[in-house]
Formats: sequence, C-alpha cells, structure tokens
Amino acid sequence: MEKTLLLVPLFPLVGALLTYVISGKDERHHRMAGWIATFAAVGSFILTFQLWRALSAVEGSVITAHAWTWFEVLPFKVEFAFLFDRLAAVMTLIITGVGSLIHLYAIGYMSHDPERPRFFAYLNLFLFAMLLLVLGDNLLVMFVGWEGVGLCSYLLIGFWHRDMGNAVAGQKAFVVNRIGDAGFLLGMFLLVMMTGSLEFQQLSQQIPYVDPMMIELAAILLFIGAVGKSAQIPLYVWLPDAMAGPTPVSALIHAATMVTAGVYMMARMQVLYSFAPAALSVVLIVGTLTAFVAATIAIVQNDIKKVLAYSTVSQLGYMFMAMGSAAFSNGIFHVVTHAFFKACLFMGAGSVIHGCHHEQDMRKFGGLWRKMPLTFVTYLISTLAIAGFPFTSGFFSKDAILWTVFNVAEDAPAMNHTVVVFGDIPLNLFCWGVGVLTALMTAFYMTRSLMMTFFGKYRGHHEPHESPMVMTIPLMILAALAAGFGFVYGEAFMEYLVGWTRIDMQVGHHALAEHNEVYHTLELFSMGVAILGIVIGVLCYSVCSGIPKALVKHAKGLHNFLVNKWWVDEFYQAVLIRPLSGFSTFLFKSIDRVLIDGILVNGSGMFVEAGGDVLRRLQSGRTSSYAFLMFVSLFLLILLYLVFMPVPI
Amino acid sequence: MEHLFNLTASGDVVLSLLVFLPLFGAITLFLLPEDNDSLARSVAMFFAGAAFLVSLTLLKLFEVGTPRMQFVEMMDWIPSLGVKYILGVDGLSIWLLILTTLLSLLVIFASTSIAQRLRSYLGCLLLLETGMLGSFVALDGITFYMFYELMLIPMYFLIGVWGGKRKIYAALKFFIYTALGSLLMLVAIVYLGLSHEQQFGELSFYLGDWVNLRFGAKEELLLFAAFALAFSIKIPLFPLHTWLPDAHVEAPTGGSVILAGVLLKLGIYGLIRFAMPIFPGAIEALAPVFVVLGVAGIVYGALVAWVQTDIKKLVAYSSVSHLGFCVLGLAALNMQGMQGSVLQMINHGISTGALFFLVGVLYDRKHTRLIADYGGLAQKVPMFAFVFMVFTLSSVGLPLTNGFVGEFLILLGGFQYNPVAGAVAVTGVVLGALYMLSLYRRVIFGSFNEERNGDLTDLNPREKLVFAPLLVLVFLIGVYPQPFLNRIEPSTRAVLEYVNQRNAVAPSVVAENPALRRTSVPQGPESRLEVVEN
Repeated sequence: MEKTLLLVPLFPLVGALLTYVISGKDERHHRMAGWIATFAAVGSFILTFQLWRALSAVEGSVITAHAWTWFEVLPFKVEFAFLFDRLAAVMTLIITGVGSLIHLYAIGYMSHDPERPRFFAYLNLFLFAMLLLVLGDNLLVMFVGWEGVGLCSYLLIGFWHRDMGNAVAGQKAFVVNRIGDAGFLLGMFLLVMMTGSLEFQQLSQQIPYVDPMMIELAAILLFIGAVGKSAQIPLYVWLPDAMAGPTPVSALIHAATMVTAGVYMMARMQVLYSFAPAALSVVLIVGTLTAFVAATIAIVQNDIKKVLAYSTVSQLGYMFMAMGSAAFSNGIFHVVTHAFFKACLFMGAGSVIHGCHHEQDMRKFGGLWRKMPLTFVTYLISTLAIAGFPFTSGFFSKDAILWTVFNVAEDAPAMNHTVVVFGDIPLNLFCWGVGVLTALMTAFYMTRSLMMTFFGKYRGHHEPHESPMVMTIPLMILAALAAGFGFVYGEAFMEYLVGWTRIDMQVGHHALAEHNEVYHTLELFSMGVAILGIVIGVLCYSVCSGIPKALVKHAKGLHNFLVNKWWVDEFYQAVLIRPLSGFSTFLFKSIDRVLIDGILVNGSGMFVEAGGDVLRRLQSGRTSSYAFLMFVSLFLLILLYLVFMPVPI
Repeated sequence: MEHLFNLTASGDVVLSLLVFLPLFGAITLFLLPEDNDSLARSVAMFFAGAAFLVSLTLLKLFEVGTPRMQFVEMMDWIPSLGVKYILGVDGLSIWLLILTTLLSLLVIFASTSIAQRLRSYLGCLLLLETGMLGSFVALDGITFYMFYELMLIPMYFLIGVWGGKRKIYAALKFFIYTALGSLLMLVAIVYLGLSHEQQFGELSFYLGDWVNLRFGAKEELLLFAAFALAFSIKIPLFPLHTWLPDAHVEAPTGGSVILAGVLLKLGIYGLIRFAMPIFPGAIEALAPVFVVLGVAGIVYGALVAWVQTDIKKLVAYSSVSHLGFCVLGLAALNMQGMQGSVLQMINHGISTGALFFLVGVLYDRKHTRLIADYGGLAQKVPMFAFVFMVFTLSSVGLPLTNGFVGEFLILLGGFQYNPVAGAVAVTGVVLGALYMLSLYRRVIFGSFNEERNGDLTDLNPREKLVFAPLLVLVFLIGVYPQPFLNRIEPSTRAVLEYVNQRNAVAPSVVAENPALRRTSVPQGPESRLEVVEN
C-alpha cells in the first residue's frame, strides 16, 4: 500500500507534465489534454479508494510512505513523507472524487478555449499540490502543498491573462495568501523551537509538555495561515476577486478543496488547538463574523459567481465556527457536504454562463428552467442543501455545527469558552445567534439567485441552451450527493471520523447521537429558519417583487454599504496599499537616491573632489605665492607658539 | 578548527590549475587577432569550459562529511614578508566554485550580443573568473587580497566600456566604493600579519595562524570593523548598497550576471571565512547590528524594488533584499541560519543570475529595460514567459524551488536568534511575492502592443541552452537539496563550533596565557606600512 500512496499524488503530477508538453502541439493534441488530465484525476481517485478500503480493513491503522529525506540540518530534519489516516482518507476522496468530476466538466466548459492544455496542466498540478497538502505527514510537506495550491490558484485565476484585471486578481490572491503563509511560517518556527520537530506524530506527543502561552501563540500563528487560505476576515478579500478565473476553477479550488485547507489544517493540528482555548475562542469569533459579513454581502450581489463566492466565504466561516468549538469532525463534515453542494452550484452557474454565452449578471437571466432543465434541477437541489432544507446534507452538517456552538461550554468545560462574554451572553450563545441569523440569510440569498436565474421571464439577448452531457453528468452526481449524503451516510461518516479524532469525541457524539430535548427543539428551529428563508426568497422574487425594490429605495445607505462590500477593499487600499506604496516611493526617492546616495555617498565624493580642487590651487607653481604662503604660515606658527606655549617662570 | 587550518599540502595542483586556467585563456585571447570574434569566443569557451570541467572533477573527488580543507596547496611566495601561497577548498567554497565556473561559462556562451571589442570583453570575463576562483580558495591573507582586488579591474572595465548610458559614473562609483572598503581591509590584513610577528615571532598572513591571534576588545572590534566594512560593501549590506543598482543598470548582461551571481557572495563568504574565525568575539558582539541591518535590508530592498520602473533596477534591489536574508542567517550564529545562508548564496546566484539573463534577452531585442515598454509578452513569447515564471517563483522562494529551502532555514535560524527579527524578516516573504509578481504581471500579462513589440522573438536555441542548466538546478536544489547541504554542513559547523568555543573560553584564554596579553599599545597600523615595504 505504501507504493499506492506515493502514486496518488504522482498521477496528477505526471498528468500535468504531459498536458503541458502537448500545449505546443496542434489542435488534435489539444483535444486530448482534457482527457489525459481527467484520466490522471480518476486514476488517483481509484487508488485512493483502494487505500481507503485497505485502511478500513484494519481498525485503527494508518498507512505511511516515505519518499525521501528532504533536508536536514541536525538536529532538525524534514522527511518528504506521507500519512494516510481517516482524516486524510476523507479529504483525499473528496479531492480526487469531486476533482475528477470537475475535470470532466471542464472538458465541456473549456472546449472552445485555444489554450486548454495549459489550463488542464494547471488543474492537474493543483490536484498534485492539494494532495501533498492533505497527505503530508509533517507541517512542512503540508506547507509545500499549501503554497503549491496558492500558486495554481494564482495561475488559474489569471488564466485569461490578456485581461489585466484577471492577472491583478490572481496576484492579489497570491499576495494575500502569502500574508497568511507568513503567519504559518512563524507558527512552524515556534513549534520547531518548542518541540524540535514538525512531524504530526512528534508534535502530538510533545505539545502537552510545552508552555501553554507558546501553544496559544503557535495556534494563533497557524490560524493566520488558515485565515489567508480559507478566506476569513480580515484576509477574505482575495476570494471574490478570484472569480475572474474559469468557472471549473472556482468550483474546484475556490469552493470544494483549496479554501477548506485551513479547516483541514486545524483538524490535523487538533491536539495543538485543544490545548489552546484562547486561540479557539479567536477562531470561533473570526468564523462567526466571517459567516455573517459575507452573507450580508451575498444578499445584494448581482453577479451569480459573486453570490456563490461570498456564500463560500460565509460557509467557510461556519466551518471555523465548528473548529472554534473544538468540534473538529463536525467541521470536516461540513467541508465534505459543502464540497458537494458548492461544487454543484458553481458548475451549475458555469453551465448557465456557458449556455448564455458568458453572461454572469443574474439580471440578464430568468426563466432558464425551461431551457436548461438538468442544470435547473441540480441547482435547485444544491440550493436546498446549502439553505439547510430538512434532510439535505447541508442541513445535517450545518445543524451539527450550530448545535456544537450552542452546546460547547457544556460539552467541553475544559475549553473554557465562557471566558469571553458580551454582557450577560456567553460567547458561544452569541455566536450561535449570529449563526442562526446567517442561516436565514443564506437560505434567502441562495433562493434569490435561484429565482433570478431560473424563474420569471428571460431577460438576456442570446438564445440559451442546455450544456452537453459531459457537463451535466457531474452536476447530477454532485446533486445526488448534496441531497442524500447527509441522510444516508451522515451518522456513519461522523462515527468514522469520531473514531479517528480523540479530542472532540464527546462533542461529535452529542451532535448527532444524543437526541435530548433541547437538541430536538433546536433542530426544529433550524428547519424553521431554513424554510422561512426560502419562503421569503421565493415571495420576494415572484409575487411580491416590489419588496426588494422598496427596500433598496428606503435603505439606500445600507444597500450601498453592502453593494460596496462594507468598503473593505477601499479601506485596505487607503490604509495599507497606498501608504505602503507611498512609503516605498519615499524610501526610494528621498532616502535611497537623495540621502544615502546623494548626500552620503556622492556627497563624500564631492567633498573630496572639492577639497582637492581647493588644495590644487595651492600648488600653482608660482614662486611668489609659495613665498607668500611660507610667510603667512611662519607668522601663524609663531603666533600659535606664543599663545599656547606655557610661559616659563 | 584544527582540521580547517592545520594544513598539510596534498600534493595536488588541481586548485592552481582551476584558478589559472581562465587567466591562461585571457592571455591567449590577447595574443589573438582583434577582429576574429568567433575564434575569440571559441578560445574563451574552451578555457571556461575546461575550468568548469575541472571544478566538476573537484566536486566528484570532494570528500563529504569532513570539515577538512581539501586539495591543499602550500608554498612560500614572498618568504621575506611571510607571504605564502596557500589554497584549499572546503564545504564553504566548493559550491561557490561550481557556481562561478558555471555562470562564467554561460556568460561567455551568451556573449553574442556584444557588438564591439568582443575579444577584450571575453578577456575581462576570464580575468574576472580567475579573480573570483582565487578569492574562494585562497587561505593566505595577502593572496586572498590580491585575487579580491583582481576582480575589481575587469569588472570596472566591463561596466565602463560595455555599459549603458551612465557607464562611466557607474563604473567609477563601483570602483571607488569597493576599493575604499578593501583598502581598509588591507590595512587590517597588514596589521594582522604584524600582530602575528609580535605575538608569535614571525610574520604570517596565513589564516590558520591568524586564528591564534588574541587582541584586546577594542582592537578586535576595530580590526573586525575594517574587514566587515569591506565585505559589507560587497554584499551589499544596507545602507552601503547604493553602488549596486547603478552598477547593475549600467553593466552589460554578462557583467550583471557575474556581479549578482558571484561577486556579491564574496562579502558573505569573506565574513564566514575570515571575519568569523579571526574575530569570534567581535562577531558575537556585533551580531545584533548585522541582524538589524540584514532585516532592514530585506524589507527596505523589497519595498524599494516594488516601486521601480526599470526591470534591471528592480532585480538589483531584490538582490539587496535577498542578500539581507544571507546576512540574517549568518548573524544568527546558529546552524540553521548558517546553512541557509550558504545555500542561499548559491540559490541567489542561480535565480538572480537567470533573471539578469532574462532581462538581457529582452534588452538585446528591444533595447529598453522599462517595465512600461512591455506587457502581454505571454502571447508572443510563451517560452520566455515560462522560463521567467520559473525563476520568478524561485526568487519568491516557492517550496520545491531552490529559493525555499535556504530562505526557510535562514528564517528559522533568525527566528531562533530573535523571534522579533524573524517575524520582521518574514514580511520579506510577502513583499518578495508582491514585487516579483507585479513585475511579472506587468511584463508578461495584459494586452500585447503589436506595434511596439510585434517583432519580438522567443528564446533562440543558444538562450535555451543558457537557461537549461539553471532550470535544472532550480528544481534539483528545491526537491533534493541534501547533496548540497551535506557538503556545506561540516564546514559551517566547524566554523560555528569554533566561534562558540572561543567565545565560551575567551576570557580565560587571555587570563591564563599572559604571553598572549598585549602589554604595549600597538602603534597605528598606518605607520607600520613602511616596515612592510622595506
């Protein structure tokens, strides 16, 4: 099995190289590119499936593989090694499984693009990096994947690079991610200093003996990395812009896999986080705020991909709420269901965009359910799932999160979450309230996008058409999973993961297994919230279409505030980018050129030159001036002598 | 430290062969007719290629796992002054030798764009190569100084004759700036030689003898300062860096490649080879200064690079930032930092050397280096865009490219030395991505101006051959750096352990050996110059 494990990331790497090589060739080769890439992804999926079977065969086993010693500066040593346990199995199955479907879909979506070999090369390279991220058995291999997915994200966002806007968006994604990565690096340094190692196994053993303050600090630093990669406040600004990339990219990278890397990292480092209650509180707060803020922005977006982008940010916020409540397996559960319904939504949106000749504005859609029935049905199912409609997979995972947030203080007293209180309300209850409110908004804005796109009258210019099978088949598979996964496999899945985790065992169990009275009440409450949101959405965008218009009119300030995304980009521009750029120019023009180079360097040169010029005049060669100088000097010397010579008594 | 400096001649002359092959090449060139360019290039290629092969042989024969000086050559050179000709190579220098011979070969190979006086251009390059190789293997202060200064003259001509519009200004500035530093170092070298006479009864400029010298605290600081100033200018350490952008912008492509790829490394190399073992107390005392200046250089260089409009100037300032990393790693005085620092010298030579080659490719075709004059090149020259991307990523230190391992080790070392310094230095990682990617974006992405750049052609076979070995090295070091680190490690460890050990026992050494303690205040070194000259 060790060799199989090594092959899993190798498949897409080879696929990437092959497709890149044929990018220079003719059209016939270009057509092959998509299939080669898809084959690599599927191959990787099949291998993962085998590994998963092997893993499940033996209770409590892990599969490890050692590739080579990456570098060592004794006593510090980094192995390029892989680890396949239950958590990695879940992530790998999602990445290769959903990844394969998206590759297949992309064959259709990109069929007219002249540069698609390059596209598929990047896509495969992304899979490779993502697999390194989840399979690495130490933080540094994870970091290789971490930066690698960032690179692929950069390349794919700016894939249509002729438009400078796309290239700018790609660069923004990379740089903002790097801010997070800087935190990640510092966290690693701290852990090396404290424990001497970055291996997960070693770390879990050592962490209990490390100074708690340092644990908290390391946990926060690593979380900064997660904030960057998983688009949380304050670093989420790159993700909406990342929609500049082709839609399959948005589905794969910016919804299903890469952006959940931060959640995965926390699950992987759960031992660290379970010893860092304060850091967890920070995670909980950041997650809650992100979920809320992004949802408010999503409500007023008109670009269908922007709606989905902000909804992704918001759902990631939910995942971090779970993580912040130390319910690590709940968070991963939401990662999985979110991968299904959000990938489906993005590809559904892509199908619409494809069918409407690259139109993304929902105001130009409408009535598409007739023209694109398959897309419509799958989009509908996924919308219900993300809205948390009863018994869809989204309902189970989101409900589990809200329950753990509600219940965290009781379930995990050691976590000390009640330290932070707002007035009389404990932190977790406050977060729970915001989470419920966000759930309501989610149901509303997703219904809004559904209504604007598929119902009413068609408002566009081009004749829309349904997408080919190669695109709709992945949609149907994902929609089926989005609908049924939670109901059919939810309990089994949680059991599976809870068997792997040690820390959140109680939390996980309570979430689904223990059906006490409060739990049931809350469950019913969540159902009500979801249905309420959907109903409002349906009403507002069918019979009562005057309501949203009236709202926009009467709350113009608020509407503007939301349309402009809380002015966050402008705020960063004014507070960070422009001052930094101005400061750099100042450094260059004033400090570097004028002060250091002009005054100090060239100045000293000029001083010597000028001094030489003065002294040169003394050596004029004229006897008379020499005689004059001699006379003056002699006079001065005598004067000095008379003044300073002590008078002998 | 014994294995480093208690040397016995190995009987080989392979180092001398390596050092003087390029010199023979230069001499041969000057015997050739002036106007036969292809013959001149063939001859230069032959000698540079031979030197490269010799250096590869050295690498093959190089014994791993020992800090011992290898292939040692020793003989008296000027016995009356105690000057010896001592060469040797260890883990610190072996990769720098390979880097030097490789980059020199590539620069000579890529010299097709030199339109005038090619023969002299190649001669200067070969002379420069001898100077660089000699500096990396010389273990005698005077011999080292001679090679060190030998580099100055051909570089001066490279900038001054084949340079751009402000070439005279840049060449003069380069020369005066570096010469000023090295003159102070010469004073210190002479002083050290004389101190040896005073303390041990004979004049010696041999590094192995110098490590036995003991000084008073102030004296050590002053002597160290003289060395450190020379090397800091070479590095160039902020704020002594302003000669670099001017020199780079005006220098021809080959000059820039060698300057950034090899010459700057002599600063770091000199600090580790000479300053650290001779003045362990001073380096420890002044380490905070170097850390601060190194970190300042990282941030400053990156910020200033970000606002450049000239590609070459941007890359030049990025060197200030990258070399800041090297200084930080060195001054952290721990293994991770040192290893990272030495490895990063090689990495910087590869990636920045390649970036200057890339700028040269554009400049040869369009005769402009302004970023604004390009844009959208991915549409016209995809191969160029690909190669540029790889070296950009290497420069920003993406994992699995060469830049990462060195940077990681340096930052880890820096963080262990002082977490705040480490944290500030890490911003260099963010800023590096910022300036390099925005350079890449403005040159490669966006709309393509057919009118202005329509005649641009992609990399020709010769240029591909130039980039091929560098590309291989980017991934080789990135994926499997261990062969590199293995060879460096024993030497850096020996230096570091020696410094630590000396600092641990320093007070007692002086106390227990009164003979080592200075009784008389030495006269100023300037006045001793006459003695030497007699």
